[in-house]
Amino acid sequence: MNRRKVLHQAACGFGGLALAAMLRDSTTRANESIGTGMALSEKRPHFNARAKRIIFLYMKGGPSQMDLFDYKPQLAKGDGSGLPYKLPSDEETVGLDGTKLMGPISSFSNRGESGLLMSNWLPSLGKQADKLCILKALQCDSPNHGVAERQLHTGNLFDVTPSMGSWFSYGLGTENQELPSYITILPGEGPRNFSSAFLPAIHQGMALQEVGLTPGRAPIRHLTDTSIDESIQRKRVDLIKALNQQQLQRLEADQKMEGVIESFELAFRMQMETPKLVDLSNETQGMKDLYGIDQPETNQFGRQCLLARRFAEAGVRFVQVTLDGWDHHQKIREKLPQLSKQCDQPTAALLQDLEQRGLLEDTLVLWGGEFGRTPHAQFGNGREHNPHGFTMWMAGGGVQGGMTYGTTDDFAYHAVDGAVHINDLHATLLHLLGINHERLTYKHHGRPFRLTDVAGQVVKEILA
Amino acid sequence: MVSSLHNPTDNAFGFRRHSFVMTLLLVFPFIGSAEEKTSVDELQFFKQNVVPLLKKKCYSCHSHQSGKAKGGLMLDSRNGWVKGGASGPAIIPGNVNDSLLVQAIRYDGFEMPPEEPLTENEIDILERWIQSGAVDDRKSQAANSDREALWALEPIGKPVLPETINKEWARDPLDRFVLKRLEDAGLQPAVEADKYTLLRRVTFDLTGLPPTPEEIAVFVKDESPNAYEKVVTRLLASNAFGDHWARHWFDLSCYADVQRNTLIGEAWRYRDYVIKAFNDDKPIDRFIHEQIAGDHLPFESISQQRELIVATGYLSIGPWVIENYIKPQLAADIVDHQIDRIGRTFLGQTISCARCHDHKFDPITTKDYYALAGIFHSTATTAHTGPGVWSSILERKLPPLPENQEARLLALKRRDQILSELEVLQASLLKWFVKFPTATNANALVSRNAVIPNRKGVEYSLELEIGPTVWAAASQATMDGDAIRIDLIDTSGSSVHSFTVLSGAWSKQNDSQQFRKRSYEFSGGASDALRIRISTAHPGNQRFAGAVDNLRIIGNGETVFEDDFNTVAAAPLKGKQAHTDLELLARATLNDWESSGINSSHLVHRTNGNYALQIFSGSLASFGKVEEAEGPDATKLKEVRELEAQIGRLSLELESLTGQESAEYALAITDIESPEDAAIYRRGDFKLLGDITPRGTLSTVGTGVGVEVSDSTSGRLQLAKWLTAPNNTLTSRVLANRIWHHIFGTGIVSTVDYFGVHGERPSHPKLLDYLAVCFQEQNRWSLKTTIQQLVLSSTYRMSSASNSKAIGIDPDNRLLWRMPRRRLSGEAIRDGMLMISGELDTARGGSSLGLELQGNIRGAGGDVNPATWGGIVPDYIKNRRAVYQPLKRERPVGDLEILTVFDFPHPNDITGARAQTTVATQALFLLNSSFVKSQATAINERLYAEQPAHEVKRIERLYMLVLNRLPSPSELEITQRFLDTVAGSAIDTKGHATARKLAWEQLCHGLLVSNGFLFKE
Repeated sequence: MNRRKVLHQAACGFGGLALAAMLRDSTTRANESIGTGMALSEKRPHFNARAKRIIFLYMKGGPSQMDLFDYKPQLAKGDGSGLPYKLPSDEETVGLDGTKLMGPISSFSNRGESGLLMSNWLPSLGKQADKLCILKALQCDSPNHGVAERQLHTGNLFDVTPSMGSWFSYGLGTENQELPSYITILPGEGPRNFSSAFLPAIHQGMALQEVGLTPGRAPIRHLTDTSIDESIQRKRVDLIKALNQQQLQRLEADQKMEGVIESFELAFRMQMETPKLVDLSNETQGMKDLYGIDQPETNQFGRQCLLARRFAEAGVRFVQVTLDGWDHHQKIREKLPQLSKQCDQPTAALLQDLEQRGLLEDTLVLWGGEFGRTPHAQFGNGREHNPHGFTMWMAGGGVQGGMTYGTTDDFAYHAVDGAVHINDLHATLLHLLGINHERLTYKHHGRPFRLTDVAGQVVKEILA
Repeated sequence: MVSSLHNPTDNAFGFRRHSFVMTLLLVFPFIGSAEEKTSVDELQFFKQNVVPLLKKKCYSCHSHQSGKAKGGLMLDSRNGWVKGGASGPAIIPGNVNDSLLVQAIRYDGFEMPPEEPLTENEIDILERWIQSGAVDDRKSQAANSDREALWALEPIGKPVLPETINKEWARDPLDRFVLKRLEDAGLQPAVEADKYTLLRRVTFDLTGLPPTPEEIAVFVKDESPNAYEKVVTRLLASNAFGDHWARHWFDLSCYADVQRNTLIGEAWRYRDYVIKAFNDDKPIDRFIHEQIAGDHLPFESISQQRELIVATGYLSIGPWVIENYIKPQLAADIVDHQIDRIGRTFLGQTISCARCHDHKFDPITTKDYYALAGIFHSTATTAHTGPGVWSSILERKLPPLPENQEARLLALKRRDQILSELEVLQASLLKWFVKFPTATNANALVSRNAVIPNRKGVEYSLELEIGPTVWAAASQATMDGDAIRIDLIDTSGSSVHSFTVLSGAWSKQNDSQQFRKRSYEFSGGASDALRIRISTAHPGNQRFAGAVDNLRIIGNGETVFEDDFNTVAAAPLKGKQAHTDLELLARATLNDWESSGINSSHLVHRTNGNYALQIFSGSLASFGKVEEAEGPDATKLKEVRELEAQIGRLSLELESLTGQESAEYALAITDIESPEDAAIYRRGDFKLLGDITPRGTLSTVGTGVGVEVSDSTSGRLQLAKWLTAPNNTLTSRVLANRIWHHIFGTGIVSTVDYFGVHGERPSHPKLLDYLAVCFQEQNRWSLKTTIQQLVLSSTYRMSSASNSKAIGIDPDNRLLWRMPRRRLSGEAIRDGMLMISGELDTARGGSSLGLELQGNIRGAGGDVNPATWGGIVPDYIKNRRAVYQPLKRERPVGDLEILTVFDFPHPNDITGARAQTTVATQALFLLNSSFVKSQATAINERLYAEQPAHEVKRIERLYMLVLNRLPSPSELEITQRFLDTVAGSAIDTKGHATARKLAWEQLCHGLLVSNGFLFKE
């Protein structure tokens, strides 16, 4: 607790507190299903948790599994030849006329004591191989970005339901009352994938839109107004408060109105304090070097990963870090190595850093995209989406390292065994957090909802 | 005779019997229950031995009683095991070994029950039962629910008006229901609200806007007994009523104008239809019929025919994943949503659950679901039209209105005018193309030698072959309207003769590099030697304008110019054309031509060394590179940019005119050619086909008998009529409750979209029935009359003042002892601020997308496309009311972010009751967003103009505008003190007047975000 307290004061200061409170709906009492108390108070899990928090490195666009983790000699052999399998007749996609197999475009090596086969485009991560639990047979239900992204984040294809981070927050609260329980760093889009939907607003992901790359840009929308003197802003907040008090006197107690008054005070304090959250200036040079900050390729993702570690250390339940750009329909030979480079060092640094701080034991790191890619070429030089069998990996809290689970066919196209559906992934994540996925429910539209809906099986084979 | 067939020892007959039963079950799954044909012994064995065993060992995971259907399997009815779970039927009567259930209990493949296997004896019982034909008389289980929980399926009563102690208070019978409950609880209704409060309340509730100071003055002064009635009549008659109430409907109907990469360009017609329907007070039953089955209703005029087509946009607009390249899945998902929407909106039922399994607690079966699915599978909503994986929402051509003739002629005239203006502009732009050959990626080729005679009096003809073409990306393919332009230019570069040759649209077929011959006549003119320039007719649209081959000019029967584009000097870049695999050459040099464009020339290989010239239209943005190429020359750049901008604007206007002079389309559904019943998708998976289910409606609602659907139509009309039939117990209750919810803040049933077993019970059941009856009978499904009834009631006119006794007894105000205080919706906050600042644009109707945005999709310029559109709304639209703003299928961002901040629903969601959150992000938005700041500034300007001299009067005016009342003395004091302090602290750096005005701006801002504005009492 002391370690955490010290670190977190250095890292987050008051801004964190304000951030946490900012999400709190000042008028609604939270609906509790596990434990009791405040909406974000820490709750006892259903059973022993293997991980206390999760960092999700989201590889938006769908990284190519056969070029990074799922090496297939048969595919290499068949490079440039006709397809040994039939394309599904009900899929009507483009750029596949006369398509040929495209062998793995990167070379692979055995890494670590466990000898995991990994692409040579991921040299730093290779050094962390013995920490990785590579799941090679992920499956989702849609080949379309928007839908598959939603399924990955919320378990649901179409309806507007809470994202997994919101469920985790709802289930377990936060370890640290002074921070939001769910932070997403540069999500790159609106709240679709970090929304709390029908869960109380406090479980919504707090989006950081800035990691210190644009001087003067606030990390949170509408945080500041630089055009007006601070003292005048203060006076204006006082005016609003006074006017609202006048009205309140007339009306007697009113929870909603008091909530609004409180929210203004809070907003003003946040304005003053929150920018410190993303200030990396007090990090050592060594730490910056480790994450590749100040190298152009890894600057942004390095900052995101370093912030993720700081938030995790401070007790945030779920941190998501998004790296966009993996959707390589064309020119994959050129683009995949670039993305791999952006990803490699910061990811490895995160694992190493978490381990050094003793955090990897109870922090689960999850890496992956909404789907993978096809073994056959699209437009002759890219790969199409593939929801039938693709790779993700986990490391740390509660999973075995240096292992692979699940296999795909000879071309890394379809899962053959050890298939892990997104519902299973979610069930497993909840299990690692000590939650029975069938028991974490919230009533909405007259029925109890779950992250895993009516499916989901825990992948017990990978548990440490 | 029958009984002999049932002799279990008669193997041959037994076999035949079972297969016969199975066939029957497949075709008529719900008439196959053969109980009357079954011998008494078997039935007794089943009841005594099998049922208790199933109950004991299987029901905990496979029954309605437990609410579980693991693996999709139910074992509590015959239908349950006939249908089976994910792996198919669980039992094959008479065939023990092939019955999955037997395999499972033998732990062969499946292992059931998972915890502890059955004993040998128990297995014997089940095997014997199955062997002898699996007689099972248990009916398909509706959910295991008590009658009270199913209150919404009970017939609607005609409740007797309750007697109350207080005989004075009630104005409308509905008040007596409210008062009775209050009196029973020992409570009194709150006093009547004051006139200012009441006017503000009713104006916001009916129109979503605040009253104006003038309207307030009229009402306050009007002492006639029906002053309030007059206000209500005025508000219901205003256009703002439809603008506001239509939005309530769009919360339920998933309205959006932009979906992923596409603009749903015609969605606005449906939006305008709804607004008009509400303003015209179209009866709601008719409104429902038109939206679900307008295409099946008779019409009396062209305008009515158009309206009926547009109305069906209701089911066209939805969260479709039109890029889903698995088209059967897309179809299944659309049908599912359509069923879900109708179920929730009109019936308050979650029918969708039954896509995969019988409903666990509401009496809706999978059969019901697929009966409805047949109706919607027989309805076409989208079609795979391309490009690529993209489907589009089906559109229907609207019959032209005769009265549009004049407008059309005007449009045609303007169109001609624009065309000639464009020609001039494009010619000047082409000059620049030639001047900066490396600056643009649009192709323009000029013949190297000026050789073409242009003799006076000589008739020439220009001949060529032309066709549509493409390079790599389908989005670059030639579209309808694209054209090549050929100019004969003089030495100064001016065009002497000009030809625009339409290329035709690329068909996206493998063989579509097709050419047609064209020839044009022209008379020779004065200047003698001309050169030929080949370019696009529409620079900057980022598509290929077309391909040209075998260009010839003939004069006096003699060929004066000829090129087949086959003399290729160099071509360092080769590629393959999308779809055709034809060879392409880029950066090609042709011996007799000078060319501009980044890749100089593109050639497509037709056959055996025969090439055709491809012309790319380039992107307008490319001129940014002029600077690199030529060094900075601001004048040149400015000229080019201005040209580009003008061309962009005119092209867009042209497109919008084209819409007017040619056919109009609306999003609309139609029946497919041969409507048919749908197969059940086992576990909701479209690949696992089950039994065919006859089209129909829910079996448990209303008449209790599924409505029959004739074979020749989808059945939507029958469905629509069934929804509004007098004996449908749900629709009128659900809709009356929705109206109540919008007027009183909470529904009588607070779960407004769900009247099922686990929904909230009505707070005033008799009142709900009374309103449902009124809605159908006295009010004849009129929305306006119903709203009028509610807002004229004494209940609505109560003040929202608190009362400590009542708070103690009924803290949530479910009994309505006062009018609840409600925060304004996001739209009302936005529109209200715009109205107060005087910036609200009252323009109504028409496309919301704006020319700029339309242009983006069609590639006519700009650097925004729908997928990345950040919610920036064109200036001429952005101050219109929220309902007229372009909506993307996501939470609004950019200029419309205010909606998201204040709980606007996701357009994919069916949201009868919005969330009402109070979080600090809202305060941040109100304090710091540019929208609120600019409104405060505008209000301040308005006040300075209206009340330049007198500061107290100005404060009073501000209060009347924002809070719709006068300030109290203490409020006046607070505001004046604020002005003094802020002006005082700013005076050091600014002059007195400026400092005062700045303080005023802050005051406007402060009041605008105070609770007095944000809440309606």
